[in-house]
Amino acid sequence: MAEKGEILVEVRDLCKNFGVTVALNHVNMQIKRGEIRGLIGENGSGKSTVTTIIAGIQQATSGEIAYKGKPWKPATSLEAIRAGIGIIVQEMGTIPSITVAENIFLGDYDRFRVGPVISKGKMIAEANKALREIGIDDIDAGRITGRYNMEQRKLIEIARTMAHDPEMFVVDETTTALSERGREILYSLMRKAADANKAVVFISHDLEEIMEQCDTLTVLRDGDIIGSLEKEQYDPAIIKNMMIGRDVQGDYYRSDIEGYGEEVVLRAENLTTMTDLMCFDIELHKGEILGIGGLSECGMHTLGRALYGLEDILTGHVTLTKSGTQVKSPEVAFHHGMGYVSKNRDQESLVMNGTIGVNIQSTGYKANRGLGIFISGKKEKEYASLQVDSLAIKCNSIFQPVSAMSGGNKQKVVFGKWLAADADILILDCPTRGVDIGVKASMYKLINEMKQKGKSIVLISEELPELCGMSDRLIIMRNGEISGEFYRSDGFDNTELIDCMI
Amino acid sequence: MSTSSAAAVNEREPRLTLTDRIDIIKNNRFFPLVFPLAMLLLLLLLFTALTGGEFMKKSVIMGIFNQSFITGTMATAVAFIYSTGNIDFSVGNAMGLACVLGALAYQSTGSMAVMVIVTMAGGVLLMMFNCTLCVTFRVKPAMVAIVAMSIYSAVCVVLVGAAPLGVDYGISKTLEDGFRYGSFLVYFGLCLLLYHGTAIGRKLRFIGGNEKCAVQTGINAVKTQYISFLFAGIGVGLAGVYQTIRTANVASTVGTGMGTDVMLATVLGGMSIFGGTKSNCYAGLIGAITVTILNKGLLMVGVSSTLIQGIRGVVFLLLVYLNSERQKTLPSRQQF
Amino acid sequence: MRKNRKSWLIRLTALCLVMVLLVAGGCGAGGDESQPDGGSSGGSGSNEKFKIGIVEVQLNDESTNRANWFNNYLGPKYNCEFMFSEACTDLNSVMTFVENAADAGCDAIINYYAVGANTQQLVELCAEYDMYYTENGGRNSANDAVYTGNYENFAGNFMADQPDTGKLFHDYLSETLDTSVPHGFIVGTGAAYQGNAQQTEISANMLGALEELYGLKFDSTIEELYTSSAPVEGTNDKGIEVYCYPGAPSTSGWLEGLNAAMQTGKYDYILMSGNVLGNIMTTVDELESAMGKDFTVIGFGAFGEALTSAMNSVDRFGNQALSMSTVKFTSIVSTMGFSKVYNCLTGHRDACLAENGEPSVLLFRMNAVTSPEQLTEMSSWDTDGKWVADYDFIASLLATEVEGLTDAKIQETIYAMDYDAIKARLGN
Repeated sequence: MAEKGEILVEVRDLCKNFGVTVALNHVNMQIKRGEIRGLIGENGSGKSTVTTIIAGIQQATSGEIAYKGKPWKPATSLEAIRAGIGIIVQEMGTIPSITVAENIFLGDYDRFRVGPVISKGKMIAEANKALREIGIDDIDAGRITGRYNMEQRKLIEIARTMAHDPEMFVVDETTTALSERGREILYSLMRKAADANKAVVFISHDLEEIMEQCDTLTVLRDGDIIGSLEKEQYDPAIIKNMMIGRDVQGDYYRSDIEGYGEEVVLRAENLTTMTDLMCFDIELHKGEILGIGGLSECGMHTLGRALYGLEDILTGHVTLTKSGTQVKSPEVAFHHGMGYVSKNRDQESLVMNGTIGVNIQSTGYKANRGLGIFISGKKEKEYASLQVDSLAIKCNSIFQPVSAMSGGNKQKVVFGKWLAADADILILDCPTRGVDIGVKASMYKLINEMKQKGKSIVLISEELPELCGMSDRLIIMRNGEISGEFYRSDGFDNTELIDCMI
Repeated sequence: MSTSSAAAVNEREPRLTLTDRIDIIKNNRFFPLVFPLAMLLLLLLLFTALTGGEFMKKSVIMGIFNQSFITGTMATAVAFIYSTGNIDFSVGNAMGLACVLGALAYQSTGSMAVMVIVTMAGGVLLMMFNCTLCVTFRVKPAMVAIVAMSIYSAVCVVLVGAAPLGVDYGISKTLEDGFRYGSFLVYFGLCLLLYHGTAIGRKLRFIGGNEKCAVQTGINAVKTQYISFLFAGIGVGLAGVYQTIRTANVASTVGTGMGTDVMLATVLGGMSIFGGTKSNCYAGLIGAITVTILNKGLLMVGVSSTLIQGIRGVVFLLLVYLNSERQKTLPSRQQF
Repeated sequence: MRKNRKSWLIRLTALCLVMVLLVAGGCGAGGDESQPDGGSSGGSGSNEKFKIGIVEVQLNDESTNRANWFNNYLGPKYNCEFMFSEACTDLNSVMTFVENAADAGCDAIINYYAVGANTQQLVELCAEYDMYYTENGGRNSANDAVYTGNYENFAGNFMADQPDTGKLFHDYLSETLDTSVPHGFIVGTGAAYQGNAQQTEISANMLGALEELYGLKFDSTIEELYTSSAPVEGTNDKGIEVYCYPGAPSTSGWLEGLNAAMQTGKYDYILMSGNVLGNIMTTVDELESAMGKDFTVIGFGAFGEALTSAMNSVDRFGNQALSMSTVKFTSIVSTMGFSKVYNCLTGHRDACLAENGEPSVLLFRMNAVTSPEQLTEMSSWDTDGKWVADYDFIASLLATEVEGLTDAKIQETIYAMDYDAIKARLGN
């Protein structure tokens, strides 16, 4: 039996470059058995890079790793899994078009070989067992993965990792995609593994979560290890300081209780969509930050899409009151000064292979015209550069592709695109998901500035503190209906809000 | 990028591998334009040297243009479709059918003007048909292409019958000079202007990069894709006219294999046939000229035809390897 | 690092491959140039060096054999260099090759991709570049204008004597068919409906032979039968089953359709006007064993693997799998094309003109093969080092070698090269 405290993985002098970008700069680290090690840092600090190298997803530029005392250089994640190192990744890690069971045992079908064929029945039974073992009973391993939602697919990934009974596993930014129940499952799995003298590496942006779950914590910044803390040394202010490199004020939400205008700018009446919404009414005022909260399946994301014309609407309509225009398509919405930030940033809000410039300029085809219908290159460049400068987007130039950027910087590009468009109504669906606190703070500041300029904002979020911190008015939804409406002027009461959600 | 920031980064850097350096060069935004042109010039110089200057003769250079016209026009046209991430390899057969319709129109009226108009209209209508299937009925583009290919070639066989349809050779030759160069310059110039100068090309590329994102940015994906097929249709029709006046007759097999020629030219010109934000509308023309130079040059140097095929294959592989980066993500649009 | 080294190794290998090919290409080119120099010391022929472009349709046994004869046998003797195209699939690709050949310095074109409707374009294109032109095809309504149009660079054409080929089939049927036993016939009319001369003649002669031998009368005319683009029953007053089946193996469903027709059990003679032996023999063999029925196959063929194996296999009834086929000698056909352009190039274009002053069409007769022995004998004739068209024969077709040579004389010489003459010439 392996002993607690024994060094399982040792990383020495590890470097990783992406072209000119340095992701890891001579990193040294030890991961011990029997502990849950937290990794924290801003986006782009290198936490995912180091763990994905250990788990064989990518290779280091230089440096060494020792695993169980021997040199370790996995070529693929499969090799790592077989050797006992599993990872649950930030991005979607399942293939939607195959069954759950096939995803769970991906690359390992041979163990179900009966003669010349792979026994699907045996595989599904095994997969179901693996799911039940970690406490998931609402997923059928025989069904196609694509039919499950994001959270369930994340759980499938967790089951996949656990099915191989890893010596060490990495949970990379997974909890943002999970509900309360999913998180509980994950936490207990992590604890169980640590108790069995295995090693767990937990990556999260959520400071509270990480302080609660981890025995020890390592902070990274810009590819360097800044330091490690034991549980008894935890202090949010210190950790934040280590992450950002300067002091961060305790409160980064808005502190004022200013109200908003009387004028209604957007109105939805009697809105019924294919899923979720039934005869829904809502009004948005000029200069208002309207928070919308609830459990992830309550229909708030659908509402955001419906307001921007992205959903098929069965009855009712969304009207821009000033012009009387009905928002029937995103095209109409866009041309009438609306903007939308999707919660699936990489899939919907950005062209990943495109450059920063291409993404930001996408809202300015009209604004950047020079002569007649022809676009002025100069104007277009300024259009993007202005946002890059004012949002302090970390990049070499606007010609850098966004795919290589960190989550927070990507989100800044998305914001930049809509700021440049000078949208009057912005629908933000989970704008701070997967974004580190530094960027979060600047986003809140931006949202507040937009409000000051008289813009109207719908802020859809699964995080209550953020909603309470930012909203003028807060609507809580449950099962596609409004279950409560609260005003900033009255003050928000957490228990009351949670009562409305569940 | 500014030199100071690059230097600052370099200080911290352990070591840049050669692969990294190549990647940096390849990621330069001017690379997709400069590299194919450089390769083209290199080939030109190589063959000029090997043929002792023969290759630079006016007639040879004109011959290169003559032979690149059809594929070049097609590739320019199809770039509009490729940009959006749609792959349509039935364009060759669409061009063929447009030629057949034009030739039939000529035979019944005896007017070259009618032939030109009918061929152009045919090209546009056929591409609109493809577009409707792809965009309005949401059939996967590759499926549409497969179906359209067999329909178009079958219709060609039925319409043409036994012997190729003839068009007056003399008039065809007169059209080859003024009309062909003029119309090509107008079309190519227009494509360049609209694609790179206005919102059209940007929208097409944006859709190719991420259709969902494009829709959320207020781009009407359906309308924009129709526009892409419209421009492609004009080019297909025009290429059909060039085909007809070059050969002065239209056989039932006309245009077969053109679809893959166009893809090859596009890739050689440095553009991904899966579209996206790095697309452009001149890659196909550069690629088509490169292919022609290679064929003509090798033959003039005295390489035997069997060997030409081998060398061409290797050169293509090499160019494609240097030209294209393997996309880190899958193409955004499902092809099947 | 290991992975990096490996990928570099791959790149290095690729680079080497390119170098090797380029170097090989250079050598090939160098070799081509050096050969005529060595050959010119032979003394015969003109001192002027000619370069001739040859358009190929397919790259197969026949074209390889042809290239061998041109490059290694004919070229050195007459100080000529030849440049072969890749497989041309349409007029555009032929034109592209012709233009490139002109730029590469060719003086004449011999085209094996002959479509009547294309002749005029190619003749005019060659005229632009001052090249002589001949093609392996006949004179028909589509290209008649080229013969009457005073094209100074047109040397006339050369092709098989199709009526004679048809007659070979006609004669074979007359000799071997036992009309006292009821037979059923599938006549593969091939591309006759598209106007293919060879397949038209063979189909017409086969159907004619049936009419003659059975004394029957088809309900429709023979022409209607072979020009039909869809399969058609040749119903007749004697009730003999005749099924005219058009198309080629490259047409989708062609082989399946043939298979289905054979499975009806109504037919036992398979008469094919096109070269499809390589495609149908397996099907025939399978059906023979499945149905326990003996099929007799007669078809147009060419020297090569397919013909040899078809002729040499014995079916389960102890018969030759292929009963009869027609063949031609590539070197003879090639000599005809060469004589056309060479006579023009050496200033004897009059030898390419018929008596009425129009460019002529030279014809050659095909040979019938009915036994494996005969096939073995004949296929050993026209190969490397033992060409049917030897220097004597070539010389007899060239005006530089024979004083006062005329087109009629050339035609006579070609016709004289029948089976017996060749056998006498080459012996065994």
